[in-house]
Amino acid sequence: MRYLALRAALCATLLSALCGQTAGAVDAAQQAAPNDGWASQAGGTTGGSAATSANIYTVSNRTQLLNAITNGGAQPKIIKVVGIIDMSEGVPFASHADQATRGAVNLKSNTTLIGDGTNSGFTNAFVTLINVSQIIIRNLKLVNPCDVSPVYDATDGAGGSYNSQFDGISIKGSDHIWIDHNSFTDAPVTDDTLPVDTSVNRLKQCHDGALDITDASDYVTISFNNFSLHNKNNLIGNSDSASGDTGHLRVTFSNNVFSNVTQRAPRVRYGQVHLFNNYYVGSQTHPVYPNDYSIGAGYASQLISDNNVFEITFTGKAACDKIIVNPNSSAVAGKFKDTGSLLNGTALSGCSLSSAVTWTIPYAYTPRASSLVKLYSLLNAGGGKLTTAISGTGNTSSTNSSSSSSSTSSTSSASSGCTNANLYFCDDFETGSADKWDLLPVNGPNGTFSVVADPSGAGNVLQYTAQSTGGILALVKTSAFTGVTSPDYYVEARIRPMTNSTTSNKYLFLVTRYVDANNWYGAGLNVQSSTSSTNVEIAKMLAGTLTRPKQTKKPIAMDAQFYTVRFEVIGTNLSVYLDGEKIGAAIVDSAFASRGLIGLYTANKSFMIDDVKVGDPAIKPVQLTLSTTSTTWAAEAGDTPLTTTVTALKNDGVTADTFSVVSSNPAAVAASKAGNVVTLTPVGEGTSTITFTSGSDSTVTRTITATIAPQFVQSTETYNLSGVVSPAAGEPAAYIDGSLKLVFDTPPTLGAAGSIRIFRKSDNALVDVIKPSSETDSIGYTGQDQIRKVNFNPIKIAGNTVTITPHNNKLAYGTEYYVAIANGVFTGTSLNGNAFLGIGLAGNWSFTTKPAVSTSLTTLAVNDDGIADFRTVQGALNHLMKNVAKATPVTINVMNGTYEELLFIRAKDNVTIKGESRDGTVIQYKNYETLNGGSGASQAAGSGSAAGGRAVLLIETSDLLTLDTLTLKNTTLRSSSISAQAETLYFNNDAGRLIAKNANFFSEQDTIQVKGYSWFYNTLIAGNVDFIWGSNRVALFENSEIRSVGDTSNASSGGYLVQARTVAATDKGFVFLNSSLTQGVGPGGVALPSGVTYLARSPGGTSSWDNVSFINCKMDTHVAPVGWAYTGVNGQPAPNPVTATAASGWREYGTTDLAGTPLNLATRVGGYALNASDVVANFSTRAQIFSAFNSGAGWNPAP
Amino acid sequence: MMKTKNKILVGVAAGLLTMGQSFAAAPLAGAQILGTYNGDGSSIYGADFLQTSEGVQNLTGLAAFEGAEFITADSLIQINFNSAGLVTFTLDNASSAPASFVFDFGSSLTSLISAFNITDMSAVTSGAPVLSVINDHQISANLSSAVGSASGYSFTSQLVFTSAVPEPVAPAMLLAGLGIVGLISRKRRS
Repeated sequence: MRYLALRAALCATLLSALCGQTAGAVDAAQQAAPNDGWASQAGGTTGGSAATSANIYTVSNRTQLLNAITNGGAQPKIIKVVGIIDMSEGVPFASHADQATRGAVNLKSNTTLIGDGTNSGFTNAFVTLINVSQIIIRNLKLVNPCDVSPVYDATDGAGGSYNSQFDGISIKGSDHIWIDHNSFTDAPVTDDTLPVDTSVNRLKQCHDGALDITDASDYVTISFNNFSLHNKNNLIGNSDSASGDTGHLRVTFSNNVFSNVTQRAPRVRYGQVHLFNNYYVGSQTHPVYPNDYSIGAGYASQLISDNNVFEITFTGKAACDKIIVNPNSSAVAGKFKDTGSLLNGTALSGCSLSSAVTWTIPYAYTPRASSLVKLYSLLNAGGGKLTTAISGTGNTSSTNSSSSSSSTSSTSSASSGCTNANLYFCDDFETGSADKWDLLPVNGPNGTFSVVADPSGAGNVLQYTAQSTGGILALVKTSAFTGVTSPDYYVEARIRPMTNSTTSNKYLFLVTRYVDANNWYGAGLNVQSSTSSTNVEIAKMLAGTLTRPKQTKKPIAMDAQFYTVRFEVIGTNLSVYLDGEKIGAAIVDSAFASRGLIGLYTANKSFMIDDVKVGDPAIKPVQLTLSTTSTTWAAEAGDTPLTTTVTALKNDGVTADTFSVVSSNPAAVAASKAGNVVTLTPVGEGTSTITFTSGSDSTVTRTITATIAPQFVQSTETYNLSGVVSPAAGEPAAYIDGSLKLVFDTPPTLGAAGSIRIFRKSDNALVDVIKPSSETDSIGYTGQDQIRKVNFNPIKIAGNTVTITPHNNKLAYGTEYYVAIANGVFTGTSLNGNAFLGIGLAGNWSFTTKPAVSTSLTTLAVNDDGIADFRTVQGALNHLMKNVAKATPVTINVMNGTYEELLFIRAKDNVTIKGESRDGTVIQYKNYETLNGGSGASQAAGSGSAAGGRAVLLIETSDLLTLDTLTLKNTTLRSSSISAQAETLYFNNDAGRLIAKNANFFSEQDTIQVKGYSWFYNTLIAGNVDFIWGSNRVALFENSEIRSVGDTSNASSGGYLVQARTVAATDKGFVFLNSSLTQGVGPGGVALPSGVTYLARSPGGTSSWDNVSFINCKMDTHVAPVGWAYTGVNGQPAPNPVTATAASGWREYGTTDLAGTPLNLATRVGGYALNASDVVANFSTRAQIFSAFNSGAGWNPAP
Repeated sequence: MMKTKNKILVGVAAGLLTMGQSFAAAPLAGAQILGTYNGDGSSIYGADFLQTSEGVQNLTGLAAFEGAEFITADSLIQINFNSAGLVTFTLDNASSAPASFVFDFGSSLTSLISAFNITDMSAVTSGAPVLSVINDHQISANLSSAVGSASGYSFTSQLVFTSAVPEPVAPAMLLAGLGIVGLISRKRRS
């Protein structure tokens, strides 16, 4: 009888032929706990054996497992595990909390969990049975979990110990449990692989129990399990003081193997534990798990033992007391009564523990003869030895749609901000009105104020919806401002900028010391389309003229979060704070010294405002700032974690403050904190709001909204790749800087999620991850001290063809790689006839890169298709910058083709880039202010967000760069939806020289930006708005065509040729010599209007010089008769000098029409008419024009 | 019940001694035994393999402690050898079932097997086991018709040895033994 259940289980695996006679055997998944154990008592243990088909689940991954546990609640259910489920899903646990979240398998009552076949189970899991009933767990292979952050407890034993949480299976407060035919082991993470804390000389023990039973759990049978390679194996009762365990913890251990288990097999407190036919094997000299003892009969426990077999190698003589002990000499030693056990082949005897057990075993059992225990248990114990044919229709998808609703909670409780009694003034608009304010009319169409609900939380805010003009919008009522008596105070408010129809006039200022509409201080936000162009500013309106003495770049988003702006005025010191962070040093100004009023100013911007507070300026804001500037973050599970450094200061502005960080969805993002560095690990698909909260003011919070896409999965699809991919499959000589191309059968749709990855074939090492959007790249060579970091678009789809640009420097020479594309990156298409569902290793799109290019070469060839040294111009530049001395002349010959790339040249002189033909060699990119804000600069490798700027080509600290016989194009079109500044090149070297000849430069706005000295000879420069500009010394445009083209965003605009910011009054600035000013249709197909193109406009101010000269140029009819956009033309400011002279300012000589007929320059306004002798003296030769170069040494370039 | 049987076995062994036959005190000490079950080496497990999961599944050395050397893959029968040549079969199935064994002690066995006899089959109610000597280092046992008194019944048997006499054929036998060793190593590599 005792073998029936076992035989039914064994028959399927071992000897079906012999088992045919046991007809109608119950499937292992539907068996109940056997009668010879505690689980059979008090009604027996049937687990989920009664499950209907709808509650029989088959799971093979974590998500399915968790859904199976959730779905159907506590109805009887059978969950069949197929294969080994890694609960970490390949994403290492980021923290203890992350592990506690993602590693948990919390079973519900009435569950049978069974492994399928020979190799099913869990890794990185901890199974918990908490306050549940009727659980059966069978046939699983379990790797005991390893706590990622063990904790040192100095009071744990002499010298302390590291302790961990997480058991393989933990049974707490639960009853009727059968744990059968499972394997438990530490391997492969055995204790000898763990680090040692040398400071205390203790192993950082990451394992806790294998299978622990505590908290008055009851009626448990542990049978046919194989426990191996573990220290603290089975804790039955966790405390001498847990008197509630009295009468519980009734557990049977039968037919288990304990192999190289150090101790606790089991260690019992209180419990009535029966052990029979278990086999123990180990050694006191085992190098990792030396036997300490086997069975611990601790506090008030009573153990009955039958026919167990111990084979333990001892350092001395075998003795019962070496294996059966009272651990830690518990005050109430346990009792141990044995019958028939063997210790190393002889009857177990001489045990010191009392055998006066007072309970009797209530169930029938027949122990196997001890001589037969060893092989029988070895053969039969452990996971993978049962089979089950169970199957059902259980739904393993999520059926709980409300699970994500918690993510929107709790970011801002700041709306009801007026709770601080120490404020001089406060308005949180909770009255539903703005009655503390005088809302003022402005000139022109007025916007509207309204009190609306706070989009970030509870309560009300004041919203202003702009029309088309601005000014002082609101002033505090004098009657409401009586609490403010001193001229020294701060005004603070939460401000949320919003989009409105125009992008101009973007200031949002808090006004202080208001005297009248023409006299006040302001501070606040300068909002732009691109957060890379936004500022925090201090402004001063004096006699109607607005200046902005502080302008500090900070990313300010629209329609997103509230920003807390504080403007502090103390005497003559004006300071501005953003989110508690003081922005630079105070501005010193004495124009307005009286209290005045506070108010709101915008030039023309919609916004929300709340919690306007005025208070004692000695009280500083609580600071909580993050080093990461973006408030959103997208990643794939398993990606590199995002780290951010938090600056938290208390309201004295000096003392470090505490802070907390919480992820609203730890299953998506795990947040961990070490000091002031927070690591956010993308652990699973989903969204999460990560909230940082100040320790001293819980209303001060910062949030990052994370969207985590599923972990990258290699497709197993295969395709005929012949002729449809580049590099071709098996290509033996691919280029390290080549792009990847696929030609689909039809135009693909670019998905939002997933990524493209390049792996090294030899070891599957991941070398590059390319995302469909929000990508950055570092341009320059590996190891370069300063690189150009840019946002870029790595995927280009043109018809059926997809071009993928990997990141710079990811591929090495002479190495085989393969490409993997997640299913979903390109959808709705097919590749050579097979529906495209991604590609992976199985797809075998592999190629081998060419051997290394010689480092001694100084002339390199670049070709986008034929044989060359490199596929990209930057590839050649990187090679030369890295390997050739700075002064050595180098030449890059670029064959005809279109090269879609952003370029960076730094610290390399005498570079010549020469195209095969002027129109056939095209280097282009769509780069612009909104994509890469600012003119751009290099930055230390690896640092910060992209600051590489909006030019196609950025040049730094390089002299004598020559661009010859090629076209450089920025393909940006002007649009009101972006900031469209878009240089083709930015030559940023005040002391350097640039030569451009036989070349074309195409863009719309800001085509050419130059510093230092430049010579454009026989070139074509096209654009419309300020398309030649810069803080230069001398730029000579000789024998060139300067073509004004129609403005894609404004057909009536003729634009401005030059915006000079020449460094010194004596610098010649921008000189156009023997050139033609022509007009043409713009790249957006817009024609240029007649007579409204201006030769120049001024940036305003006196910090630079408007030095521009047109000498003997031909001009078409698009040029306005007045020539210059002088003061007031289109609202333009006055140039510097206001009145031009022969030596400085806007100048002109010898202008004709295109036919060569002199134009009447009497119509010009704001310029200076040079005479012939001026020209002879200053503008007659290149040497003359460049004479100031290098402190007068001069420069005389030749074609 | 089992203890009783053991006592009987001791008596039987003593009786054998008094018969004056020639054998060493522990003729199986250090023996390596290869077993098959119903003609199949993969249907039976040796103790060494079960403990280490290494080596040949059905090859085992004599256990250090009292226990068993072999268990059939269906867990139905265990076979124990002691160093004196006492062989105990324990059957979980009291009904008759096909069960034939061959045990090979290898040609390097110093004491040669001359007989293989039942010593106690009191628990066998019908269908006596058939034991036979194949050669001086191989034996067979056929239990197919045996019916036991109860699940878990045992019967015992005894190997009878003659002293090994060095003979000219020894080198050839040694080579045969090496062949087995070679086979073992190949299996390990795979």
